[in-house]
Amino acid sequence: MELFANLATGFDVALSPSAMLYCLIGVTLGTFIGVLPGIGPLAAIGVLLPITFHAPQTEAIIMLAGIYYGTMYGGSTVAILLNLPGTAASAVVAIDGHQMAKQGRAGPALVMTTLSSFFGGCVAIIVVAGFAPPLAQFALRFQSPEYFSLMIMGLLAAAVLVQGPFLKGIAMVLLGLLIGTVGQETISGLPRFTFDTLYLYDGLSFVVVVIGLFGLAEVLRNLALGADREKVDTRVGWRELIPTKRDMKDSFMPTARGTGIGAFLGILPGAGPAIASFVAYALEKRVSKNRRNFGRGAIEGIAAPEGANNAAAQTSFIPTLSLGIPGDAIMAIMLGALMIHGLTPGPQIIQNNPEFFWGLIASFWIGNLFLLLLNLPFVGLWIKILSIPYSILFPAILSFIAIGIYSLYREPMDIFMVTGIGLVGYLFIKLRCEAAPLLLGLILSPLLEENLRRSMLVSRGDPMIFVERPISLIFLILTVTGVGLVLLGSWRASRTPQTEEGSAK
Amino acid sequence: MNRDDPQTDLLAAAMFMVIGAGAIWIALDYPVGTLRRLGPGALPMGLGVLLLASGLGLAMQALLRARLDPQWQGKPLINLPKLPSIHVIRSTVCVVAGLGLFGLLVRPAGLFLATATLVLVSSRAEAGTPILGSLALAVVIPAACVGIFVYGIGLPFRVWP
Repeated sequence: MELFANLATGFDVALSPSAMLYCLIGVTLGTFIGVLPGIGPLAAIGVLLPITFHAPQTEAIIMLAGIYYGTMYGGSTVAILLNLPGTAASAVVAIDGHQMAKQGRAGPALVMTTLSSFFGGCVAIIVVAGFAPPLAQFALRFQSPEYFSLMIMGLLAAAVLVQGPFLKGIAMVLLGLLIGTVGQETISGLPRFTFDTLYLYDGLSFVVVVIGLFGLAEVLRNLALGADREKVDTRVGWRELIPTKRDMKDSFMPTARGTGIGAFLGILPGAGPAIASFVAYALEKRVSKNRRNFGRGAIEGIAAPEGANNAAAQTSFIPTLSLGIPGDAIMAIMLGALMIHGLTPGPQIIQNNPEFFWGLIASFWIGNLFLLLLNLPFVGLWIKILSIPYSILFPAILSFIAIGIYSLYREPMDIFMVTGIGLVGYLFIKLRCEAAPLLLGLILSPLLEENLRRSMLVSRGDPMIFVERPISLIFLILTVTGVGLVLLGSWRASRTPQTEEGSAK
Repeated sequence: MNRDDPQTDLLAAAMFMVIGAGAIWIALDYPVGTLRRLGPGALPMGLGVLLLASGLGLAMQALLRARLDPQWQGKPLINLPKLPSIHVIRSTVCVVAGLGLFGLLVRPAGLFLATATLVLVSSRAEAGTPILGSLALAVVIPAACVGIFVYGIGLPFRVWP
């Protein structure tokens, strides 16, 4: 079997001492930051991103991936114990998880989170290993019109899924695309939006934007909240750690269903872990025998979304790696990191860098194993982190941000830039504009322009080329249908009073 | 939480429209090219127009919603945000000043002193932090950072002036 041969290559890479070390550092740092309230995966990756750039290329991405699912685990832990969900995905887990914690069953809840995530992760790896290569094969046939339509699909999906008005999401995507055009234009060499400064000739560094919009803006927001910041009670009641046999039995099918949903949704552009866990929870609430206990500490309500979000987190690497089109903001960061390391994501990556590709996939599994080992015995320790006062924490985070950015290019101007972008990010938060779609636009902007230009050249200026080529047409039809369905759904929801969402909070 | 607050949406719409119009204004100087050979100005111009249009659409949507929703009847829609409180100004200024000083100092003064200044200045953001606490942090955090980044990761930074 080729699949297993490939996975074996991957494990060879991932089991090397240096890869394992970086993976361990990644998941530990990720869990550490993920536990801190108010710092979601995006902010965590933003703060830790520069550190990974000093590692060798494969190790760096392995570490970044480790940080990513480390933050997700950490997020779930705090969500369950303290009802402080840091992300949309962990908000779902908090519903039943925190109820269990209140009933003194925090132990089984946490163990189940870990086990379900591990299960979801294991299955998703096989999905990634099985699907990414054929998808890449298929994508080899794509030409610029196909890529253009695919990017439009991804960008619109990201815009549709933000909270609040659809047009806000669109505007943020457009803003990201616009920021992406800053700098010298590739063909004519014309400097665009550089305001006659040499600094902007190479465009805005994506790391600076990520850290400013997500890391620094978050610090500013937390500081501005001041006394309103949530006080955290870190005393956690434990009675027993190990789930009962019944817990295990009750959780198995929900985990399996959640994993399936997550693995599927993760592949779609724009969906990602948050949506996956919402859908998995909603489905479980319909099909479970135990549905009346949902919201009152049902273990199924933890198992399904946890399996789903972890599976989705991993399968979302499929489009990122094999098409070069990230599905969400986190994957956009991954893509940016790959490019900084000189790897060009896209159909060729599997053929040209098999060690990297399969090594990364194998490292998912090892990272999950580390998390299992890290989370179960040390849960109490992670909770202690919460009692570090913010007045100590934020100068440390700021120092990390400053040194991390400066370490990249030794350019003090980057520090001033990140400060400015941080203020803009804070303004976005105040105006309730989610910055995630902006990031996707920023990353895809040069690709979008290149493929648009090439398509128009091929078609001799006829924009019909995008609907005349079948694969491109399919992407556009999917885009229109998807956007239509979501808009219809939100229009309906706005006409009926919200009942379920209110009770979930 | 008030999710779809027309006042906030109007402000956001204004921001998008200003940026869109600004982009169009600047992109007027760039050659747009032809449909067959798109010039360097084509995408910025297109994006500027779309951004302006979405801002406009968002504003209309917000106005429409405010008109339909009895909650907003008779209330002023253009509501300039309140001036930020002293606390918010203080914390923001401290963070911005701290980072700015880091940027200015890191080259001439080295990593340790720049980080110490950043910590000292930014930690004043919270009114309740005692000055001794800030000073202690300004020693401990830079020392830890030097340990992690210079000796741990091995970045060739100049630590001292």
